[in-house]
Amino acid sequence: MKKSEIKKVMVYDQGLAGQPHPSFWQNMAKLQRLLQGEQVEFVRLCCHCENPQQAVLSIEQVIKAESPDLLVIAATPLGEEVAPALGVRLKTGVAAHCADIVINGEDRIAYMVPAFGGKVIGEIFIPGSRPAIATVKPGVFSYDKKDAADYREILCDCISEDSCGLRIVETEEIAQQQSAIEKAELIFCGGFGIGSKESWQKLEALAKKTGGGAGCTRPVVDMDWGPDEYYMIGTSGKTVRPKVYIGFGISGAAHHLCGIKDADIIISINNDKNAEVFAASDYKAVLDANQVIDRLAEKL
Amino acid sequence: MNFNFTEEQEMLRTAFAEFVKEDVAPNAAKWDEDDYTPTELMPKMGELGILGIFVPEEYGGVGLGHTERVMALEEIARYSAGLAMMVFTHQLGMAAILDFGTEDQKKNYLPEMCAGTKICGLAVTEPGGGSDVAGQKTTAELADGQWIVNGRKCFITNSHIADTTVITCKTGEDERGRASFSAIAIDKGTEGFAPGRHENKLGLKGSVTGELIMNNVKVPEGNLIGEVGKGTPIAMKEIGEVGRASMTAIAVGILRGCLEDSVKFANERIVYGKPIAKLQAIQFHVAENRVAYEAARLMLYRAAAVKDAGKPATIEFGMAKYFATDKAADAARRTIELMGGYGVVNEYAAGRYLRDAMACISSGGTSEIQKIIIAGDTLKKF
Amino acid sequence: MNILVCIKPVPDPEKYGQLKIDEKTKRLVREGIPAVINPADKNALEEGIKLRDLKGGRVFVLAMAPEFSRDKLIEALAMGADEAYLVSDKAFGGADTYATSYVLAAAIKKISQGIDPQRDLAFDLVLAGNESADGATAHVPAQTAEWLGLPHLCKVSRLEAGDESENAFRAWKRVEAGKAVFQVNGPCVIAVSTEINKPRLINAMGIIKAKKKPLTIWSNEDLRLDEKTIGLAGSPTQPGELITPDLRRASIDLGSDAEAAADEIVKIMKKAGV
Repeated sequence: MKKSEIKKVMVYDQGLAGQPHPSFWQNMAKLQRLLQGEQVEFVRLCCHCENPQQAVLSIEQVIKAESPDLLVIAATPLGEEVAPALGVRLKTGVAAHCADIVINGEDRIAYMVPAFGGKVIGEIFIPGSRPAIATVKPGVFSYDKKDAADYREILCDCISEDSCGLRIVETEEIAQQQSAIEKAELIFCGGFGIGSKESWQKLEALAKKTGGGAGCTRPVVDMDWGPDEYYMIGTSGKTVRPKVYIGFGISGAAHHLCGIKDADIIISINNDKNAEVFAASDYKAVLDANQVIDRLAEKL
Repeated sequence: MNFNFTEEQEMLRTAFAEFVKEDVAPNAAKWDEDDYTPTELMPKMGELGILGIFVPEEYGGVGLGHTERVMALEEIARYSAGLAMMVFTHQLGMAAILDFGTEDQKKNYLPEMCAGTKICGLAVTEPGGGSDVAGQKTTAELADGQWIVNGRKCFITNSHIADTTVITCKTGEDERGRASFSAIAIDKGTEGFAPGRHENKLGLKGSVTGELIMNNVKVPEGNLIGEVGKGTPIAMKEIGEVGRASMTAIAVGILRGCLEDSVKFANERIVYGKPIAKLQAIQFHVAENRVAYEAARLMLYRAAAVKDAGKPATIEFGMAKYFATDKAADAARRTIELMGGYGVVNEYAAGRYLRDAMACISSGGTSEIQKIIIAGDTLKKF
Repeated sequence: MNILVCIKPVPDPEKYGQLKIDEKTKRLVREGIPAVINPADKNALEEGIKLRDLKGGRVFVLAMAPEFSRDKLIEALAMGADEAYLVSDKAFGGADTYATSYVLAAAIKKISQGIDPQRDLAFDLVLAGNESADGATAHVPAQTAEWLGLPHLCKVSRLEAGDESENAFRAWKRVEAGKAVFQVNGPCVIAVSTEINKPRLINAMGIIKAKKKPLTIWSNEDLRLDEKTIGLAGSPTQPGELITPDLRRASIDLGSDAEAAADEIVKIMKKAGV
């Protein structure tokens, strides 16, 4: 799709009518910057159904009626389910977890998509089908209030959940002990090398004490040391952009590095002198993660 | 001649390697340091089919052969030679029961041993020597339907952890007045039967080696394995084939450790601005480690194939055992030298490889014993 | 309960550090990187085997992959699946998630026909790993479900089957606001995340039994799908160039004393204003 072919851009927002999801601002601002100077209509499609099937059935009709050229969806747990379903229903292509959306030398829209755990980034084109759908992890695009411009808002009428084969029967809100890591200016991140539940608790305590956030990598979730996927940083978790990121016992798999690459300062502590994370860090220390965690707890 | 493993064997190796990666590799250094015997892994190895891989299905095994058995040992020994030592000694006792036991004995003992819920051992060596089978002093006398066993075994692996140990003992004399020996299974907890000294070994730590003391131990007559007076062939066959095959597999595992660690170190260690792998002196070490590993491995799997074909393989295993253990010690020393200062730091495994390889040379018949056996055969054949 | 598990052979994710892009062809060089069953798919298989052992029935595995990936299906059979299907054809190559899920859905329908031609779908549950380690789009489960007209739920971290009469599943999933429990009517497609269970190790007995279990290989001659709907031709997304992101930074050493390093870190934090 050429840049000039884009006449209508729609951003699907799962936030409430008057309370857009933070990712909405990020994605809308990014597209407006990208398509600056073009004659493009920007639309916010607001639908706050939390049931993915209900959301798909509800917004599908609106999308068909509006026929946008580009539809951007935040890759939240809901968006990640809605986007591929819409792809099949609307017979169109979906670019997953875009690290960037760019206009290439030929004026074509290219979706930059990570693969092989972030080791490579591939260009994806969606030449023929409409709308082209792109999902973007919250936090990938930065947002500054002054970026926001005009857009038309469509409030979607949600269809009844009764017509769905999928129903939410229980929800349990999780009170956040700490500020959400995607907004945190200081992040303490634990990897497999922290070794225990106790160490994760120490990281959380550090975060609480300093007003920062505690994050982790996949092994910490899988080992059941405390955090769930919500705390995970990387291509399949969150993208963060803190002023200072301190990683403990992190090996440096590419998918994690992708999630922290926008940090101003990266500090890594790992007792494996060959840890790949060191090359991608501003500061490194070949030390036992827990020793440094304990020292920091005394000093902060 | 086909040098390829079957698809099934490749899958087995991958499955063993997964287990080793998860449960052995991360703990091997610690087991060595603490001389800790991870018996808790036995049920898991039983479930995976490692322990009874060569035992027919009807006795709780997998029904494969010794090729697959030594494959598992090689994978385990790559990270922990000590654990492989415990596993194979368990299998050594099982093999004696399988090859010479009665149907009842096999049904009674083997399923739990395959499952790893019971541990087995085989005890031959005595203070007077190991390979001198005829010099054994342990005796058993039959009285009122019971064997009364007296004596002392030493350098016995699994001495302190085995639930059942097959021991060899003197049970009489043949028509020419020479001592004749029998094999008897003794269960843990039998009165008068107890482990003695626990040896503090140079290498193969993690496996328990020690004494077994038998003081008027009363064992049911039915615990005799094989026929009266046929204990020597049992010991010779199992130690000569199962035992030496296993020692070779352990040495091949150590050789692979040396090879992989030396390559990794040579690529990562930067001196004068480039990896030391660029230096020819280092390349010579790496090449020698490779050749030693490949040659020992070929001898191991050829000998295993001979055994699995049902042919006598004592000489093949004798040659493989002598060669592989000797080369493992050479390779470990070379790896230490290649690493410079790091080679003598215990954070690196090279020192452990050397200790384990040296211990392998003395176990299951020394290199000299192997050479005597090999020479005996060679002088007849060529 | 008949369960179908979709699996994908992928280059071993633990070796992605060795991946390189060929300077000339701009293609990914994956030589020397062995294939493994996609990690999350092993969790899906484990979940399927556990459910079968609880509720009875059979576990079928399905993969769309080159024919040399046969051994990965045997591995799945060795883990405990009952039957395996491999759909393999050059014509399927270059497919994006849209065209891949189309082929998988067609294969699922064909397998179902073979089990019970009277039922719309002979499976009560289709399981898959949430995402593959290589492409990681997390699209295929939902898209396969859409082609089959089934409800779907991704990123499930716990799963329970309801009573026989219910024909429904309870699935736990992390959502924006917290945790939610969904009721999903069967048949449905559930994509599981790796935290749902710990896949069992393969045992020797399983490998021997696997050889005797049925493994069927189908090409497009069996599925008879229009060539315009499969492979690269049937894919609405098209790949362009690959790049390797350069994430290198200064890597200044803070020394090997924990106390001093911690002091340095505090200084850096102060300077950055956090």
